[in-house]
Amino acid sequence: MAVMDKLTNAVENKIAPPLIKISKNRYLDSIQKAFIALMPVIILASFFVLLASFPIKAWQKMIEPIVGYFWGANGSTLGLLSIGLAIGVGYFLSKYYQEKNANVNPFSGAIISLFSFLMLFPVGVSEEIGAYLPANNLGSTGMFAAIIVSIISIEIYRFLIQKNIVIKMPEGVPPMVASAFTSLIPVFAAVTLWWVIRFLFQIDIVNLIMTGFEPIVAGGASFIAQFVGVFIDRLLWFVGIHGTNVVTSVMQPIWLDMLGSNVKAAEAGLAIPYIASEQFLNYFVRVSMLPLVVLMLISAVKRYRTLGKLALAPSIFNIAEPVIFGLPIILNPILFIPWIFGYLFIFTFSYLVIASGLVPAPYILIPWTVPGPIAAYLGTGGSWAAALLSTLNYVLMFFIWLPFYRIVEKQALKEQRENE
Amino acid sequence: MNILLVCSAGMSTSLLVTKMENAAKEQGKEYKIWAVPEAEAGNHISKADVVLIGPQMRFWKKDAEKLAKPYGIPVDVINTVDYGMNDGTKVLAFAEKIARKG
Repeated sequence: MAVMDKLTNAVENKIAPPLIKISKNRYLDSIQKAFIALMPVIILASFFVLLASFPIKAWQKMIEPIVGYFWGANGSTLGLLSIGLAIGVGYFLSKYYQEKNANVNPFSGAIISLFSFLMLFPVGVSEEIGAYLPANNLGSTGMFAAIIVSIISIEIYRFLIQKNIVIKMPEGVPPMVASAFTSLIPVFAAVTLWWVIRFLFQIDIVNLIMTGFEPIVAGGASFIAQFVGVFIDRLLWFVGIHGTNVVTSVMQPIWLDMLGSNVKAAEAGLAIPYIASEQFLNYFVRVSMLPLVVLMLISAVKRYRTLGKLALAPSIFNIAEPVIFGLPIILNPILFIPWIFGYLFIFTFSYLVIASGLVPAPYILIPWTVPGPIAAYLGTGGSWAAALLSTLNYVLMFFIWLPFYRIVEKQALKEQRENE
Repeated sequence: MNILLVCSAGMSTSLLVTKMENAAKEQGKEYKIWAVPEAEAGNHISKADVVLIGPQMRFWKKDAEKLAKPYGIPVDVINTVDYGMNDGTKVLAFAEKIARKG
């Protein structure tokens, strides 16, 4: 097992630390926290999309005259998500700097970030509706612009505060009033910068950033990038590190961009552009530990049966830790192969099935704790083929696990007999 | 004693909460035990006497220690086997042990 030791050692000490360092980077960490805070809003948007496309004929007929209202709820939430993101990144990044300098105020940071971003969307006037905010790029397409503008604005803000370039009020001025003046110079500096760029130089920086990120999104949304993502996810889990958590912190903006584009395409009745979305991973690839739990429930090994019973309910709802740590899968050289290559196989297989058009791509976000087949059915706006594919993947994983599981079980059975 | 458990989404640690509560009750102890996701831990740490991290989030320990330091709260990672078997009694004993040390 010297090879296995070397591999484990390499993952634990060489591969994992830089990845974790990246994911714990202050910017990515702030972005991730912002997305977590926005998650209820994203789920709400998806709920309305689900209502608009719920696969029952009678329902479709009933809501036909007002189906636009349901899409409208999505438009005002997911369709304006970048605003929320600018606020969130501004808030959480300022909160990070607040630990270093108490004068950095997260709420001020959120405000600075929000208005810096909005400065890039000149308010228009039309005869019909009066003043309006052009919202085309305030949804998922504007996310990278929101992130970058927020980061730059907060960097300016905290730099000025840290260098103490602020208006100081004489003592005796109430703290509330004083703090409003403290952020006056930083607000001016940060927000005015964007005014200069957008209005004075007439540079459409949102479009510029979008174009700049296009290759990254296209690359990140590709089969290869997501394949590597799943590989890293499984590899980290193998040494007992929450791989999904680490991968998500890098992939989240790309995933949300994909989700936004998919929802937009569905609303317009077009083909779903992205297959390997986070929804795809959740409904088809990261299928639960249920196949192993079934095997454990009927095992002759007492410890396995106990674990199987314990892990049954969590596994149905995609909580994998009891099996991963209990069986355990981590650091288990025999289970390494199905754990890594089984899931990569399922990923590739499902991708090909969807790419071939046999099963539609999902475009509705269903919370990750919903069992795969149900999530696949709802997430595709009611495709039985999708539910079937998800179920098939459980079965495939069962047979991929089976020969390797048998070896582990045999060893455990031997140990059990020796101890009796 | 207040015991805070932290993992990625607060899901798998919440399984352990019930088991630990039962173990505490059996031993006639009145503990407050709760689980939160890593992103929210900062708002909860000050209320805890001891912070336990799910082994899959052990890379977060350094950050947790930074958050806990001002309050002098001990932080440690739960043993993987106890975590996998959802052994409330053992994890409870572990929490008591590191709380005493802290």
